[in-house]
Amino acid sequence: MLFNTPQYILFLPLVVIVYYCLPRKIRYIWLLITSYYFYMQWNPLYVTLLFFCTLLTYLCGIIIEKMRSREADSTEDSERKKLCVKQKLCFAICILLNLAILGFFKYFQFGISVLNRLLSYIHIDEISWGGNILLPVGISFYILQALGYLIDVYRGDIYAEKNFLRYALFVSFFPQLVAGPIERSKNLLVQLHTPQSLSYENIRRGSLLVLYGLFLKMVIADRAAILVDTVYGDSAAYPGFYVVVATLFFSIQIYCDFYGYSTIARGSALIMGIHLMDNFNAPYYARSVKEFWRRWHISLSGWFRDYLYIPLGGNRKGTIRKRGNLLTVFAVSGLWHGASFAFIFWGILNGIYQVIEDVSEEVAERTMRYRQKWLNVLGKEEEKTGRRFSRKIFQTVITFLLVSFAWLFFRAGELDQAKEVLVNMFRTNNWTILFDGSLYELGVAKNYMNVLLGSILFLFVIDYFKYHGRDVADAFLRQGWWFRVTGIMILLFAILLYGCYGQLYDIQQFIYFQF
Amino acid sequence: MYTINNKKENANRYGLSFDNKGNGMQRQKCFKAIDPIGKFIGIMAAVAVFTGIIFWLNYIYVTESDWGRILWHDYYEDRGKIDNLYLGSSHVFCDINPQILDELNGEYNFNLASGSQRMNSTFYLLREADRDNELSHVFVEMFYMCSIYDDSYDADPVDDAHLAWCNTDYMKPSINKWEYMLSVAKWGNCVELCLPFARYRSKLGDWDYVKDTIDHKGTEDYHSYQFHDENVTYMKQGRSASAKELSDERRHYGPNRIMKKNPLSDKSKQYLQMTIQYCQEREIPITLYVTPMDDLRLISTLNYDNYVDEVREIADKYGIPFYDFNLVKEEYLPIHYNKYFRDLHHLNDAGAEIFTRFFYQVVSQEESENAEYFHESYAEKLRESAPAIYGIYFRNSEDGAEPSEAYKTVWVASNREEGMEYRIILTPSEGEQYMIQDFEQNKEFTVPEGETGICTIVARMTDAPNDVVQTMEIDY
Repeated sequence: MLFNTPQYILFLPLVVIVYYCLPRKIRYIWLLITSYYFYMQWNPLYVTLLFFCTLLTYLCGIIIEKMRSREADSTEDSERKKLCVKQKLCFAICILLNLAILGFFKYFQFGISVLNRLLSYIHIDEISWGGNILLPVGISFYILQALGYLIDVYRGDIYAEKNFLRYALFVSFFPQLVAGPIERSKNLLVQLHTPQSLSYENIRRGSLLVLYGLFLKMVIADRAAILVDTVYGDSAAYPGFYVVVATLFFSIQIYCDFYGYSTIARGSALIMGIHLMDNFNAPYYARSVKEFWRRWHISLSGWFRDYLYIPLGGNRKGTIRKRGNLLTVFAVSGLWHGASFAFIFWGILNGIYQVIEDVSEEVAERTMRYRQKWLNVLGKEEEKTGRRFSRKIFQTVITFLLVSFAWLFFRAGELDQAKEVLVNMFRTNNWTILFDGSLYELGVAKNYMNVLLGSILFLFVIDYFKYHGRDVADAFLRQGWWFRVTGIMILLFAILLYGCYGQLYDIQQFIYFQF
Repeated sequence: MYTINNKKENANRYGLSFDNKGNGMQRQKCFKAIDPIGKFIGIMAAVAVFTGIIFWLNYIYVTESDWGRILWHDYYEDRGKIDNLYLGSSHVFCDINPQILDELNGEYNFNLASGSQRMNSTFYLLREADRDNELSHVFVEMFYMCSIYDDSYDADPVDDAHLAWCNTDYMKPSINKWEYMLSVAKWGNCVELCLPFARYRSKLGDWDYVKDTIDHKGTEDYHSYQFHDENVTYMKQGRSASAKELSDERRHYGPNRIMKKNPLSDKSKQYLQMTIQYCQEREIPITLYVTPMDDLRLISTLNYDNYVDEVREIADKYGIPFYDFNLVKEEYLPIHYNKYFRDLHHLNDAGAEIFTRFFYQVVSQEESENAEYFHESYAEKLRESAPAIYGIYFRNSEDGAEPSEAYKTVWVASNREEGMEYRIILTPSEGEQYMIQDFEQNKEFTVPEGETGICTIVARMTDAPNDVVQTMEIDY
């Protein structure tokens, strides 16, 4: 059941109505039932995997906490050490088991192909593997969420959840189950403990978010996908600037696709009075790749920062180690996204960008110091350039182009294909296609292209306010009736008239579902 | 699990507050309180604006269903007086003349037929008509193209679904209508089903189209529920009239499906059985029938009898009559001439008159009394007919996929598998005439891709090389 299907548009109100009709104490059970039902729409069998991961992390959390309390009560050093080792062992086993599940379902086939490639170099027979492992949807998300909880319990940041059903809901809460945001126990679990009463404000704000999310997905992302798929499907036939344009459109597509999903997820949860974190904060306004990653897929970046980057030493162990950690985290992030070298390369490329930024910042800082010295010697004042508008624009554009270039590898999916796309990109200089109407022949006719470009402009205007810390939804809902109704009707009819749905289109799955 | 302090910290982050007992978090009020009546009026007004826009968009974009609009208007005007109901595809509204039947049987006859009507539509339209009328007899037409496809068939034509949705656009609200809507649309199409303008999204920004639509809706014909174009006129009681005649030049056909054993789709079979059971439970006599089509169509299925056999089996199972008028002996229904057809499978007015009279003669008798009119099988009919050719066709491959290059490989349709020879000459629109073969038994030949012109086929029997059986000129 995709968010952009009529099934979900019926499912959500039904869930909400029953949710608010039930006594508060048992609402979480209803949400758990509906979440499992939601997940079973993809593959009923894989719900057992979700259940197993939930049970495993739940039990480990309880065991670790019990051992910790016994450790605290214990007076003997040897006993305390034993309990400490047991805690570590339990923690490690649980982490390994979860990673093994993830590894098997997501990376086994990739591992076999890598191994076979290595074996072929040394002339050993390849391992034959005829099976096809279907990737359970959302596995990367819910395992990370469950592991985050376990690490928090292990570190003593939170108490373990005693109520299994509530914990199961934390792992499987349907709005964020299959593609995040990867919630922290500190935020989501506490809200599941204290359900809110029916709130008109939550409902209208949540509904607005759902509507905006659908707009992003159906009007922008899925329409851009038509153009992108046409070019990437046959880059030899569409070389040069076709690839450039398609890559830029892919940057918009993936943003609107994932941001759209997260926004619908937030809106759906908010209607039930549950506040999920915002996964995006105007990332394409970032003026550096580092800033981009603070604004893009915030829940994942935060997870990797807290549970991988900092434990690796973060930036506390010297410059070289810091950069090494950065590259490691981004390589892992790439691998998390997909079992392919292209994703790893994409991750490393983003890491390299940041290392280069780091080095250039350092160089710029030193240069500024020397410059300041010389200016002091010459008795002149420093000219402030950092806040110039043109410079900000330049930085934003450069960051967008760098990130878009990296998306090329992400979109290609395989290194060989990325190489082919790159070769085709530089094969010819056909810049005239930008103006002679050729772009309208890529599956998006002129009137739809105009709407697409207008919608992207609208998105960037909204993001501009968001970048500057304004809550656009709040501001919108404070306006007069006519303004609100006009805005909502524009969104609604943009979806109904220009959205990709129905007989003429295949309903596009959200890109991040595959991860 | 958390301490109260944990909760408070968290609550502050998200603008929440809660009481001293640690539960009942409330979102802090960021908005002005609005009174419930004001809220209600505001929501209702927004719904009214939304509905108004929907009506406006439907008005400027929806044009497809003049037929459906007029048919359903006609039906609701005639509601309560219909005795005999004729359900099925366009074959019904072209081939059955209810006005002639009124004269013949002295009852009120109505064609509740719609283009490409599938069995599920037939079932729900029957229920609709049965609710409003005291039906004496139901006639269900069984055009094979509407019965052998199911939803999973890739080549399921988009227009067929649209045609079914048009019925729901004009049916009056009822539970039957909602059930019908659920039956004719997949989940992914429900927006298009409920909001007709959404089917015309490809026309967005096409102002000429919008202008034409608005102009059309301002015409006298539109307001008086009349329909006529250069070929077709809507007559009362769900009848389409046309004087147009088929020409030899247009005798080519494709693509078509090879009729395998038991070709009825599961869904069609299920709804056909439901339709029969529905009638039998209410003691309404029901008759299944197939209207006459040009033999070119039927020959191109390779084994039309597979279809006939399966429908006959179902009819026998329920003990109801089934008449396939394609199996009628030539002497009883001499209708297979171009002057009686408007195209390869619809009769014109002259053909419909002949057919309707014969149809009445057959259905007003007991089934056993009609046996003499019909051949046992279509193969038998072809065997017993004089040697003839019917045109050319191309068809889908065995797996149902369409040929990759349309009209590249074509076949001659004749009623002889062996013993007939064909001379095939192509005269391209641009270029010199050339011969494909000179009196050979081979029926299959290739037309250069993209080439158009006239194909001349001369047929003779192998055992009588001096007598030409037939010569036909066909556009290709």
